[in-house]
Amino acid sequence: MNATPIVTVKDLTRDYQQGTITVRALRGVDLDIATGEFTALMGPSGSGKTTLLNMIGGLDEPTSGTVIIDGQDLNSLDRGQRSDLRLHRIGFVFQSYNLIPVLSAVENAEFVLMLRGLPAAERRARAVETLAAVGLAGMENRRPSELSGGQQQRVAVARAIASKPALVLADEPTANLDSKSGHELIATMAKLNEELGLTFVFATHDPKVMNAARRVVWMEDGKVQRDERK
Amino acid sequence: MLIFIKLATRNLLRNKRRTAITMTGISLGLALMVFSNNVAFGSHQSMLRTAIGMMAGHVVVQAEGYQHKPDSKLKILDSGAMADAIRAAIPNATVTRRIYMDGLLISPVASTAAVVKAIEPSRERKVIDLDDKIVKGKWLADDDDRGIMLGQDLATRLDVGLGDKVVFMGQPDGTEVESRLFRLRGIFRTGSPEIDGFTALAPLSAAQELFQGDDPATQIAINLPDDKQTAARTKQVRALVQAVAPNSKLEVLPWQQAIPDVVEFVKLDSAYGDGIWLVLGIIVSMGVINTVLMSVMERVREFGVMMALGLKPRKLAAMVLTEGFMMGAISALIGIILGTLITWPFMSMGIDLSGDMGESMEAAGVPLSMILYPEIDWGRLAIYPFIGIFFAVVASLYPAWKVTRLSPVQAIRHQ
Repeated sequence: MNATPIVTVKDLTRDYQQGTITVRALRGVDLDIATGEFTALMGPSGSGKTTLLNMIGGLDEPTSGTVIIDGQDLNSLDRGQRSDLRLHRIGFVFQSYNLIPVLSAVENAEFVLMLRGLPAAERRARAVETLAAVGLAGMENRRPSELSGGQQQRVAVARAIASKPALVLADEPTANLDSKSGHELIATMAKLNEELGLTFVFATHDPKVMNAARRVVWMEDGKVQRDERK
Repeated sequence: MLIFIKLATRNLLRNKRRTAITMTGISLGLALMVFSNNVAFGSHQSMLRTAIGMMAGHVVVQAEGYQHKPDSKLKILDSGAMADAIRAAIPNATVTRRIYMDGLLISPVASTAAVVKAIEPSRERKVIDLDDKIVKGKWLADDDDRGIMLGQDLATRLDVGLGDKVVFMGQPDGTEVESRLFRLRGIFRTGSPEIDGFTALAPLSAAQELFQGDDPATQIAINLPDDKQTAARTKQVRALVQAVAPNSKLEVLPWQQAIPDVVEFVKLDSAYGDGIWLVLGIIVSMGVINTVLMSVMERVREFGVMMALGLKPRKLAAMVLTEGFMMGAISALIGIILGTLITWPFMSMGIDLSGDMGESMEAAGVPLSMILYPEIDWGRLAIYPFIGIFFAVVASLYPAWKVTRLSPVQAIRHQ
């Protein structure tokens, strides 16, 4: 495994204003994630897992502190540059699948490749291949409404990895799945991590993810409490 | 770009009923706009044709200054030779001479001010479109230099009937008072109070006797088979007049300059119509804004996901605008086809307003028929798609702008 950090988080804080009350979602988080790691951010609701994941993905801006992705300090990037960074370096998997309902499975899987401007034939081939890798061969032309929750989340994973990003961020990917589908999805992602060397970071409550992860970062009250490596 | 078109198409089909209602609104608005513009265009064209035939020609030759200050002393001499030269140069044109004289018409029982328009009867008949407006008697004969026709109100004021004597008295040349006896051959009714109450038609030869100089005329009117020839023929006639009568002070004007009041009226009327349609366009746009905004608000989460995946806000806005563009383009096409189809039968059948508004009316001194015949305004038809697209895209601007303000995190959390 390459030990170069793909994610470096330094003294990260994030405050939210709720009326007159300031809510501190992150209180000085320091974290390095190396390329190829399979990391789970664990902790109770409100512990700051999702906030940290959003900061790492450049979806939200910190109140203070730094996030460096693949050598690029996100504070130095404007909105458009952060979009470009996500497009070329980061894949996302969300809790509730969040597929584009008017696109078929294969069109969803190739969406990021389309945004990247890959030729149609190449992106279609890659999307079909990725769908097969997540166990959805033969379901390419189904719309999200014609797929089960587990299948939709697999399409979401395919969409996240089809562009071969440096980093895949997954927020509660198994939360809406039944136990069997959850196991299968984790197994699929673990396989992709091993075979392709993709870096995965999960925000999760799910013990199945924790068991599969090789590193578990425990969070509580916006801080890292424990960092366990297996 | 293809992905935006694909997404826009599918998003429009996502809520078919809403899209159909919005597009129906745009299409019907545009169809109504096309139809009413065709009606207005048809009546404007008819008005211009009438005015060109009755009050000028496509091209007119007059003494210099006559257009600015009509005065019977300003005349063309040797007008017959000039008219013949023009006929030889433009064989398919109807070239006719006129003299306009102000004076008194006197009957045995009354007298009244009038304008006598002296004409070449058989030639004038081809351009003036008065045959169906003769309510008594008949059109003047070329060899009848005592004949006169009067507007119906004028004849009533003079209390004369067919065959009665009418005397014209005036100072056509601005010197001696001259008079001439005519006999009433016909009475016409155009619906224009100005024409019916104050206009008489008499033979040119009779009027010429009241003027000094050789073969005088106030105006030579050249009526062309096609209005599109006007500019070129005006140029040609100018050169011809210069060649035939190099020392005479004559002006050659296209109809646009010869009947400026009518042209101005048509422009103002068109502008008024456009103003009304602009207001309607804005109202329809409000509906489109509402629809697009609803459709955008329903997809906030989707937009958040797209931004998270790396789609830039301005591209998201482009996607929303593409939806507006497509809705506008398709609606415009349907609206134009529908508007043209509605127009079609009325082009030959006409829209008869005579029951409610009388048999005729007048605008800018031109008698108008109350049966309106729409004509397809091809020039306008070509710009309607852009109007439809313009309003739909403008209506999508606000929703598109709202999309660019979305924060990905908040958008993904949006329920």
